[in-house]
Amino acid sequence: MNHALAAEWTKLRSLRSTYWLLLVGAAVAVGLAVLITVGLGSGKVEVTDGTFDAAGISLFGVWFGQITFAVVGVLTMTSEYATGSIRTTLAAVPQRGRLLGAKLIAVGLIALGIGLTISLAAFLLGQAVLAGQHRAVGLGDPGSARAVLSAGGYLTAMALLGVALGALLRNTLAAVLTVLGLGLGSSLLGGLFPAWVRHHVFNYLPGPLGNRITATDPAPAVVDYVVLGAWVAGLALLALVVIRRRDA
Amino acid sequence: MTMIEVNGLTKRYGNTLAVDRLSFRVEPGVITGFVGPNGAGKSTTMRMVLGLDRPTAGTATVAGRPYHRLERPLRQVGALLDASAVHPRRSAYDHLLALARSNGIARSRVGEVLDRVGLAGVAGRRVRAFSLGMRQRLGIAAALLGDPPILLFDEPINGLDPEGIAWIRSLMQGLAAEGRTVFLSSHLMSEMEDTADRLVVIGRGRLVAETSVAEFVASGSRAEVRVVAPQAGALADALTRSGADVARHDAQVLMVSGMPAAQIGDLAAQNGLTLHELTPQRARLEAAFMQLTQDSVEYAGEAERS
Repeated sequence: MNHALAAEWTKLRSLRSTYWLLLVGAAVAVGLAVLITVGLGSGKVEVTDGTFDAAGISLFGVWFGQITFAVVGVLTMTSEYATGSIRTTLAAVPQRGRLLGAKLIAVGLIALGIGLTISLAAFLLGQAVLAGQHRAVGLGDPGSARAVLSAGGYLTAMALLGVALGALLRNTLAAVLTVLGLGLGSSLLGGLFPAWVRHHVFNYLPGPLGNRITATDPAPAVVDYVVLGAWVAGLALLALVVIRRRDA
Repeated sequence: MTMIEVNGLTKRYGNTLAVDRLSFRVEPGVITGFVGPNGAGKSTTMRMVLGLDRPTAGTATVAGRPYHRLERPLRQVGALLDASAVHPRRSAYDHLLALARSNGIARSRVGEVLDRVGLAGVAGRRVRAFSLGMRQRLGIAAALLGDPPILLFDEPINGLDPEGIAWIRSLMQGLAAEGRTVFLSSHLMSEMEDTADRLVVIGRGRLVAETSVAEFVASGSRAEVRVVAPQAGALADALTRSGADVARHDAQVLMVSGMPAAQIGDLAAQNGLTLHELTPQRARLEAAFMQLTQDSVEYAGEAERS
């Protein structure tokens, strides 16, 4: 496993697309944190739903960072199928479960490290701007640290879902659309459906789960973390079953 | 020990039997050619040997084990399946480095194999910029990375220029001379003539012959002698009386089979007949191949079929 992991790590860091995607994700997350908080100060942006969640506002941009994290995850699988390099890869690591595990761990580590960094940077910069408006919170304030950690964790979960869906669908576009549908689409489109569908279906999709775990008020329920983890574990297991059965 | 063993290997895609109860063995230390017309099932067989495709029935083992049971397989088997199986945006060096890491092979081997295939100068360039010949060399570098005793090459000279072909031939002969087992597929029998020691011939997914090159040539076509003589008619009569088969090609040209050249010369001398030419025809591997696989060609043109 160590060897397979080292190989996947080498593959990730030897592609420029990895750096570009994560850089764009970071720029969007941190950039939006600054833009929105500055906009709040000048009155160009307003909070309409009543409560002023200082931590949540600075993490709003991280929400869009999930796009590039999901794509990084998807590409680690689909680019192998698109280029045919999967045959070279499997000839070197014929134990397919080991290969999938190595990809999940490599992507997970990189996503967690960069995701936490981005979240923390967005929080600190956003709060620095809000401090000028006398409504900043610190990492020590209730729920702030948890929201920052959860945001990094959510980005990691989306990257891992990308890997699993890439292995299942083997097609970049299909996998990216699916993972973004689960992450972004589910929280944007929920409002179009009747309340009971929202409550019983959409609430348990990764997007709304991510919204809740990164909020400070109300504090997220443990079950939200568990369900998000179950999404990752479930799709990873499904990917394992499928990748073992199919011809490369 | 048998290096590669295939037993009753079968692969069905829907209604098509790509490989049909195929069994053969690849013996150590020689070059074994794996030949058959296009679509005969060579690549499918190789993919099953490497564990990439799952057989419908039967087994394939490498060094006594199914491929997916091999730990660090690159140290036991090197394979070149198709040269495009590389991420085009990765450099040649990084491609090989990732492969080396996956099998716990020292980083220094990457430089060594790049040197051996002549790509050391472009190691840092992305594979996208490589010509087909360079990609083929990169694929061979990957196969050699783990210094494996067994090597598999699927159509290695496809699309190569004459210089590249000569290079691959000498490389493979060098690898066999080092005591490695080489299993090499091609749809061109002529490619095997100077390269392979043994042959596995397939057609329509079935085994047609498993033999040495020499036996294959002998079995596939009858030895003939071309004779040019001014009095061809008289000579033909004398030869026929002595039991040879004679075909008259021209006023002065006979093709004689069933009698060695020396005996034909003696017979002509005894009868006082002049010979202008007496040439044993070397049985062509290609001809033997055509004859053997005639019935198993899936897509034959009208002209070939007649």
